[in-house]
Amino acid sequence: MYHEFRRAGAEVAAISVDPPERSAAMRRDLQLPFTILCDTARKVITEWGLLNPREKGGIAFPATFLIDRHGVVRMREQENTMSRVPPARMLEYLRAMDEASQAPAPKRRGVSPGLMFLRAIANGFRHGTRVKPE
Amino acid sequence: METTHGPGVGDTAADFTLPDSEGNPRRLSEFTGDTACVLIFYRGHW
Repeated sequence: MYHEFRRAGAEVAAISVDPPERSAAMRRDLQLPFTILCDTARKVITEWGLLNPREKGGIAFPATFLIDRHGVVRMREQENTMSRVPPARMLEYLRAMDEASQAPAPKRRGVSPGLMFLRAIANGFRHGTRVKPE
Repeated sequence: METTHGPGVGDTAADFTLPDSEGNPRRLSEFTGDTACVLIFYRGHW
């Protein structure tokens, strides 16, 4: 799955408040090939508006971002634990993003990125995906 | 305390540095330099 993302031209990184030892153990157990970042001070999570203060002394709300090579956010999805964005949909969105212009996305229009995202989902339904959704 | 929303679609994500699971400091820009980056925030270990 990870190599699919690399082929689509993306790196993958996960971030939580778990300390490095805990994250390293999880990474070993699950044999995760991508980087895990440890925001134990809750600094980035708070700055990005994702702090859930009500659990375990403060953890991150689940969210997935797609950031392009200019550092511009192209997709931001805030999710709940039961329904994360399926990897297949992320891949479709990545490929749709690559087909579109390489220039940074227009600021906060709201319609373009959403339309691209819906088109990616529609393509997924039309053509099917080779990857099992999680 | 004022809560910030962070970068939305179309905004440039501010670079940050955090330790990875091996304790090495990593910058967000390492992941976005040559490629796009899928950044997944998760709850952490149960």
